[in-house]
Amino acid sequence: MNLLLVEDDLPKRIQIAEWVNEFLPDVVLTIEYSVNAAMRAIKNNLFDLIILDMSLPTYTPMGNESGGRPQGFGGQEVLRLLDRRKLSPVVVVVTQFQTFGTGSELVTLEMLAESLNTVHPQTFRGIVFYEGANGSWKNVLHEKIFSAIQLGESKNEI
Amino acid sequence: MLLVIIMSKKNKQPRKSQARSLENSLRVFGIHEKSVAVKINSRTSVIQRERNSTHTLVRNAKQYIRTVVHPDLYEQVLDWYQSAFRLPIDEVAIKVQKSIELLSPDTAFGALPLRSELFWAATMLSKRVEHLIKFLNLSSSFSDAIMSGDKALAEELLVKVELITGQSFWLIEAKLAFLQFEYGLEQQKAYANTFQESAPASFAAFVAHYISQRNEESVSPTRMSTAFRQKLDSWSMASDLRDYVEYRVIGDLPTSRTSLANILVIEGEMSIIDLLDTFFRIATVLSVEGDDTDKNLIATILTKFPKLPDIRFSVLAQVVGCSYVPLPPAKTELILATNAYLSGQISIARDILNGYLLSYPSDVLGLFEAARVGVYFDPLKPSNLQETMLQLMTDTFRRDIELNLALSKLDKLSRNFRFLNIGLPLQALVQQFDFINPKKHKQLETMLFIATPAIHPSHAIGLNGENRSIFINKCSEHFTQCSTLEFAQITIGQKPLGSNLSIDNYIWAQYHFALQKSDKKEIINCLNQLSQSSDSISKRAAISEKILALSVMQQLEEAIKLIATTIVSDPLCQRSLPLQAVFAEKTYSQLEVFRFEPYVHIGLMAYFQQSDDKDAFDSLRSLWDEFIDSRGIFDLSDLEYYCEQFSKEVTIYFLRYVCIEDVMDISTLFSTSIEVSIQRSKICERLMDLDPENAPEYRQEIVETSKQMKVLEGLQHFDQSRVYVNGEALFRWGNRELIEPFDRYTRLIEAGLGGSEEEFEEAIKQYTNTGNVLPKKFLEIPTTESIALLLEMIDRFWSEYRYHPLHGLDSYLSLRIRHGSLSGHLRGPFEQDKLLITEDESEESLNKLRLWFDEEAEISELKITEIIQIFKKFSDSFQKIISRLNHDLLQIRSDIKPNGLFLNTIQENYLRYIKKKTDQPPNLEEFLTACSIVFELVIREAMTHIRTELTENTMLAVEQCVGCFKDSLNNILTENEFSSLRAAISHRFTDFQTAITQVSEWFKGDVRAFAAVSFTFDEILDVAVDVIRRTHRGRNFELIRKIDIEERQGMDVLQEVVDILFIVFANALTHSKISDNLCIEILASKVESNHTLKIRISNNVSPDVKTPDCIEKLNSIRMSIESEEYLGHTHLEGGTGLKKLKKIASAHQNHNLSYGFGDENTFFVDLELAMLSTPVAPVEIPNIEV
Repeated sequence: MNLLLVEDDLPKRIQIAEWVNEFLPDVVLTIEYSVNAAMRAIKNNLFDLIILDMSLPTYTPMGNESGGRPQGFGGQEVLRLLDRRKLSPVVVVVTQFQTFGTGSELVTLEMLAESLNTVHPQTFRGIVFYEGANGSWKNVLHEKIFSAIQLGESKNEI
Repeated sequence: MLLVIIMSKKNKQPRKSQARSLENSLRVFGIHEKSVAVKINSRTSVIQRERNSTHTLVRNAKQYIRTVVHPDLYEQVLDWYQSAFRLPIDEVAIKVQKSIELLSPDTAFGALPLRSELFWAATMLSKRVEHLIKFLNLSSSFSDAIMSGDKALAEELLVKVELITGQSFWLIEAKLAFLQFEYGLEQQKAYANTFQESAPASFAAFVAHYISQRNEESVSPTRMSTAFRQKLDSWSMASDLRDYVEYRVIGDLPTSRTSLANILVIEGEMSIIDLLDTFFRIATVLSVEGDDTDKNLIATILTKFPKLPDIRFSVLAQVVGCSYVPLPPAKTELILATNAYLSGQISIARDILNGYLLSYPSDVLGLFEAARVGVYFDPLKPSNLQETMLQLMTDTFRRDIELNLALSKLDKLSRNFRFLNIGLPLQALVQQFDFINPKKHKQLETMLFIATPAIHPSHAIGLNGENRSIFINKCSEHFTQCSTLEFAQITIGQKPLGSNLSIDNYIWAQYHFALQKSDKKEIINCLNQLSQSSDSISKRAAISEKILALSVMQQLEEAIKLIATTIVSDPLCQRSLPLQAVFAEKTYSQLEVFRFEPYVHIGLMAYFQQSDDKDAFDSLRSLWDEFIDSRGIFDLSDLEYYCEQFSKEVTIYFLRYVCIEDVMDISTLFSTSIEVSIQRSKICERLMDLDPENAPEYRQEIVETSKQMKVLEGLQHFDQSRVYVNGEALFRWGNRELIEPFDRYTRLIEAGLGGSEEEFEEAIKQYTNTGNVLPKKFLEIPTTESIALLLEMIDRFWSEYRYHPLHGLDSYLSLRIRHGSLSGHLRGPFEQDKLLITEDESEESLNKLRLWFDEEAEISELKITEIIQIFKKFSDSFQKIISRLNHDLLQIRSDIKPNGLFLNTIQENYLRYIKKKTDQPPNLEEFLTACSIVFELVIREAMTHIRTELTENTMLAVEQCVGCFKDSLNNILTENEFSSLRAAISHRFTDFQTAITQVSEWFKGDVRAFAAVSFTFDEILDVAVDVIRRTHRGRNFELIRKIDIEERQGMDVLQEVVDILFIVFANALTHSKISDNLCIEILASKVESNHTLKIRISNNVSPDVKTPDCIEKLNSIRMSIESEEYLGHTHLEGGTGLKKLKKIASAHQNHNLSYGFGDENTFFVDLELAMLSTPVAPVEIPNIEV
């Protein structure tokens, strides 16, 4: 089973990767940091499961690259690519924000979940609210991923 | 209830006979006795309490009639009620409000269904026919006066309107708009303020205030509407009142029927002329946009409606097909003008219309005809409202680049002057370009028709079906055969003989007939012919109509291609194309099929530019990515070869406007933003060949892009040179100070006293273990002198490398990292949202914290105190982490700094490497180079540890600190209170992670190598400003620069200038006592005579900065510098800024530094430095096994 983790936040990335190692020990884990890198990975590989951050930089910061345009809804770009390439891995969004945008464009987590569910029904399987200091997000992630797997939505056995 | 009224009027004694009589009468009107009885019983107690107020009783009676009686019978029952109780008209009808306070909404009447409210409004209006007639006559004269700019008459008429109909919002709006247009903002505001003074906190004052705001020239209707709606959302108010206020202030009618009813019911209790206006607006909307039931309703109401001298009602009756006051025929001049226009005699049409509009300045039809004709002539210079409107309408019909501006101005005028007859058709004209709903597009003609105060055949296209035929036949009774009538006849399928119409107008008439028949083939046929017209106005209109038609017919591919080819060939008309009709709410999957051709990309980009629709832009990016992937394109500057089947113009447009960085950054062809910028520059280079006419623009874009990349490059170089030693200066030091011992060393070696390998191994073991090169004990002599001498030289050089006050590592660590930079970068994200507070901010703390909570939230003082404590605790904990980095870790390890991560010791293998390089044969240059390489490797290893420390340990510590902060707040705040603050903390923590990642990049560079790059002085300043802004987030300053240096400068100058500016800015921030308007001026020039660089940096200071204490402090720094005592302070932080400037300057053999107050309000720093601008190639660092 191939799992893609797209996350630019280091502590969050470490914690999610630890969770994957513990509960999905046999998966082949690919970690990417940015929208561009995630899209590149998706174009070149077939993933069964994607754990996706919503707010991402455009490019992976390294060397002379500072990350390019920060994308508040960068995760949606990845979901759109899956749709247009007719790919349907299980996608769970993990975010540490409860709201996105500001003013009249403010979107709550619930609103975002509803919108993603409507626009990407083939792939999107839910949002997990991540709080580093509080481990309850792990249970939610566990429930969302394993219920999707048990429904036979992933292509390969674990 | 009626019984109770009798009781109150007759000393509380019921007059049963009268009551019985009333009940019988009510029965005649279909009101059943039972329902009356029930009402009497249920309302008795309430009414008895209020029996002293006749007004209240009548109002209750009116509400009763509204609720119980069939709407058709409202008027009769009310008449009967009035006569039965001999009530004065003022009790039953709407009062003429003499006082502004009475202009206040009464929401006691709950709204009935819209149908009932319309009937009720008509009933109320019928009670004041005399007033309305007088008003309509006055307002008609007022329209003419205001349109023609007769200010005195307009003012006089407004006074008369008030005398006759009392206060009204019509009057307030009219006067505000008139004052704003004729006399400007000041007079308009003065008038609006009179309400605040005469009736403070009244509804009228409130409305006047916001209408006045809406009328201001700089206020855009859209933004004003959004902001006002947000205010309404934040105020708690009943929905009916909200509907009314929104309508009154913004001016748009809502779409919901309940809201329309809400508006009518409130309007029905205030001013008769406002009710007339609102009633007409709602009736118009229902007649134009409603279904047959709505039209029948309006027809029923109008049939019984009093015959007012308001021709608009006559036209409305035509639209809904009922009888009212017959329309008069259009004036002969107008028909002659239209004849001339339709037959292509444009100049004649214009001359006639000029005269016509002088006689009838507010004639809507005349204005529209004049605007249609005006497109063929040069623009006017408007001198009054009529000409202003006319010019904007003309610009709109011209459909060129002025369209956007014209539409936005027309939108504003149509709202500000909505009380004029032309208001509605102007709004319809603006809406016609929305293109969201193709149906709406067709409503302009109907709206224009309604505003037409006369029978005029060519505007019959505003009517549909049989109504149009009836109307045109009626026209033919009034007019002899002429072009205007011919045009109208063709639109209903008649074929007049010997038509004088121009070819285009003949086809347009046929097109209207085809539309009427819904004959798709004929529609497209007509539009195809018109699209080839030599008349650009007609052509643009036809293309627009064709796109709309194709969209309605679901022929999307053709519509998209037409859009793209039109935009490419006639970019000026882009705004007038119905892009919304084609692209609004289209998903990627609906457009996917068109992705292989550039048309959809061009269309979507144009649509995005017009609408700012982010979903459309996302679709465009996705389609573009697929387009590039599907064609296997790797270099976009070669794109033209992949687009051979498209026209050159399409390819150019696609490359120029679609292949931009914001679109291209979706592509996985590029891995970095720099690659995207480079690619865009290559496209521009290619475009210069393909489109030489626009070459200067492409060249400018290339220059801008390369400038941005250069600044980015400079920033990266600077960031990576923060850990720095001045290798060249130290090399010079080594050549000077070590020449003598090295000469001794050479002689010892030459004399065969180099010592054995074992002795060397033992010596370096001792050196690495103890850091000691001297003998361990007194009287002990080194076994091998040459080995001891070599290690001593290495140790001295190593010491200078680290601690030289001007050139060593520690002084640069202090200057570029510890002196505010690190702290600024890491604190910045949290400071930006004021999440960090300091001890001395107690006063401000409360205000800062308040920002996080809703104004309405009732947070107790006790809670606020607790919150402040939590913020302080977080701030302290966070600062401890930063201080640990600054004071403990980012230090050179020593007895005083035992946790410093820059180690003192040099590994044994490195020492072997130095000896090996030095001894073949002994050479000082080789020795110094080998030492430099080794020292750099030692520092690089330290930097690796520092990066780990920052990205792991520090990150984790801050994460825990933020976690505690959130938990503590979560414990005392409710979910609602905490939500926005929590979101801010999360956002800022993410920013912090980006910041610490950037900081960790500082520890990745080459500590001594200069990259062979060069910059203009302007680019250097850009880099400096960027470094400063990143460090001092949230602090604004103005930078004025006057640069007179043409030569490009190397990295050394970049580093020095950034260091200098950083220090000066930090000083200005700390000492100027200027918080918001800090202004820094930089003058830089070259002194040719001695080849030096002269820089003056000055900033403004508060007048109380120049104190005796401050002057004494500056003197003491001067003394410290003169005595060279400052050299001992350059590695320290705090109060050492000017000393650090001296350190920078003293690296130049000929330098000068002076500073002080220019006057009470200015502080300056003058620097003169030798020019250092030779880029030096980096030294290769070998790989040495440790």
